Amino acid sequence: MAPDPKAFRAESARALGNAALRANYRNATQRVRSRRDERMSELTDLPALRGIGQAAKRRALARLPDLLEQLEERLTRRGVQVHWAETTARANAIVLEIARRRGARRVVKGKSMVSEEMELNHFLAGHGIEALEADLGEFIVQLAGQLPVHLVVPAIHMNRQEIARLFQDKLAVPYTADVQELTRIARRVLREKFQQADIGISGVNFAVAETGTLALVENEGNGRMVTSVPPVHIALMGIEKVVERLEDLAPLVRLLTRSATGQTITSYFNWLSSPRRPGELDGPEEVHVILLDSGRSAIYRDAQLRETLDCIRCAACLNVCPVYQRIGGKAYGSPYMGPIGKILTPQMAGLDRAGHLAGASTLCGACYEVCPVQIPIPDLLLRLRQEASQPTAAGRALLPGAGGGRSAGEALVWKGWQVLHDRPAAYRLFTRLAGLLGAVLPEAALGAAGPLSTWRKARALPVPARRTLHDLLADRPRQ
Amino acid sequence: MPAPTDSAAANAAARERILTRLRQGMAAVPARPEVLELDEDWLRRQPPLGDPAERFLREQQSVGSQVLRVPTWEALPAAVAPWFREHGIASAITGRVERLTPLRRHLAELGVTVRTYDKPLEQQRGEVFGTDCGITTSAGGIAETGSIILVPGPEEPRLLSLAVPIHLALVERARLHATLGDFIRSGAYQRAVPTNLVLVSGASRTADIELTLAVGVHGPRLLLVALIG
Repeated sequence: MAPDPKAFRAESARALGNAALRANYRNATQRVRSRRDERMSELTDLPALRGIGQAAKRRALARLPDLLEQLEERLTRRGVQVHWAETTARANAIVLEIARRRGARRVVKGKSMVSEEMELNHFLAGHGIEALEADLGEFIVQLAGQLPVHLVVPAIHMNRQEIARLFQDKLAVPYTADVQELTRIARRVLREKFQQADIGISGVNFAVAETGTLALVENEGNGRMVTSVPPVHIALMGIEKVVERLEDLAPLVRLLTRSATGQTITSYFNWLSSPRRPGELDGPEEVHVILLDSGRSAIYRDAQLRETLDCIRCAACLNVCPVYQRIGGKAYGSPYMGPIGKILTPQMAGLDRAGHLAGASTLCGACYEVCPVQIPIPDLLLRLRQEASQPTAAGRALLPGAGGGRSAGEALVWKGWQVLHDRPAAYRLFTRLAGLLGAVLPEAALGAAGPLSTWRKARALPVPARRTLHDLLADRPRQ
Repeated sequence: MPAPTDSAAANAAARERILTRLRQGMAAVPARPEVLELDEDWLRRQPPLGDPAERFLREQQSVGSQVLRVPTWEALPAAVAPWFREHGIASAITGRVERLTPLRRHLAELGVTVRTYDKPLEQQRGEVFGTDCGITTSAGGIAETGSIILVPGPEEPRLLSLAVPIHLALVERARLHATLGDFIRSGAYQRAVPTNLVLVSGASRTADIELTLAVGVHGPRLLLVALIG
């Protein structure tokens, strides 16, 4: 599913009408939120820490091209092969080239948002290569033939009974809705796969330029498996993931794990820097890093939009978003959903195709309040709404599809508004008519099929007062 | 499939274009000087941890690990032996670490099958994935978060702490750091960047089904921690 305004409305309506689905989302997001709040409340220096996390990202972005070169140099010196991809298609082609050269048939993959951007599983399957998800949540959605609906908890929309039936169907095991038992089943299946895989693929949470280190944050151990057991490891990362110094990891991981799952730290914080060295008994013989641009360098050129690239993918903004909680993750038609998806997807996929996502917000600001690196998401939503219908010159040059959301009807309404407010006589005439006709006209003109019918479904139409504020003030006795 | 030279050329061209765009962006958005400064005060802050050893063990226990303290390496074998009985551990595997010889001997006397991970994984897969308990030393720990610092290498490969259902980690008290920042600032990692370093702060866990905790999803289901000294 790609971002599409019609599909967004249809899927939102479907999700809103599904009480069981809404309960799954409500329960799960509430639980993550309360865990996150509990961990955050333990920090006495939270405001300072958020500022430091944000500063670490900004400092890295301020020198991004230099740091990418430094990272490449450090990694290359140790025998890691670094690839650059401008598009997801190119990134896929690089993975396929490696797979063909190795004669690979089976790939096992840890959690990676960039691989979702690339639609890598689908691409590899089309070339006869099995790509299996190893993260439990990703494994579940892949088994169900779906896509992840949450950045951190991919199968957050399914309850244990649904997962039990899925395992029974697809893995030919007896029905069990016991979570420990379901986890054991997945462990058994995936253990085999780790050992058979020709290639392991992972994402990257932070890449440290200073030391040439790829840092992966995880709880399950699938990230350690895919980077340790198969003979080849391919790490996929967006170019914005680089940080300057090893020391930056301390505040960033502190913010990330607390925000994502409410943990002080995850079970594993895994730092990788090279292929297997002489004398070492395990680890991959070959390590590749694919640096993906896919629109990021365009976002980078605008001071305000650049803040989008501060994101560390903790998903705290999803868990507090009143829209995400109700419509779920599928409607967004993008690997990035919820508030961060609303600012990231339109910039990557184009405002003409995905500009509607920036509109799907109440601008309540909960996402900004919770963001560990203080991304001003509501400001960015407003900027994108503007670029979609009336681009600033820079916006047109920067963003694909800028101006593509312009609607002739909406433009006409605003033009009319401008005319009325420019001309006092026209304005007085309009308000007088509205006062006189307001009580009778709307039902006829704006009834069930009128232009405001959707808006009116859940709202009463305001009736213009018979007398305007100007009139009332004019009648008031002067002091 | 393009020939390797073509893909090398394509890679160089993509690299050039991406870096050019980023350099234009860098020029278009001048960095404010304050953005480039580090907050040294925060980085050097010392959170009130109490006794580092107590804190380290308490954090490990809070995520379900079993912990004990032993005064010396000599006292270790007798101190951890009850764990092997309690958890019905029939087989154990270690790396090639001289210091573990007394422990290995003691476990063998108790009837535990003791193996050594001393051949490349490809030749020893069955034993590495088929042993009850992996035993590793460590490069210390981080008190604040209860993290064990593992630096796998030729003597103690990565999978000793991952492929087994139970992991026994041995941590020396003298090598505890207060915070992750302290460990990083010690410079040990930067001086000789290892192939792999992993901070282990509990057993393998997931909450992907209804946010309900389940342990042992891919790695160990139980972490045993002995703090020495």
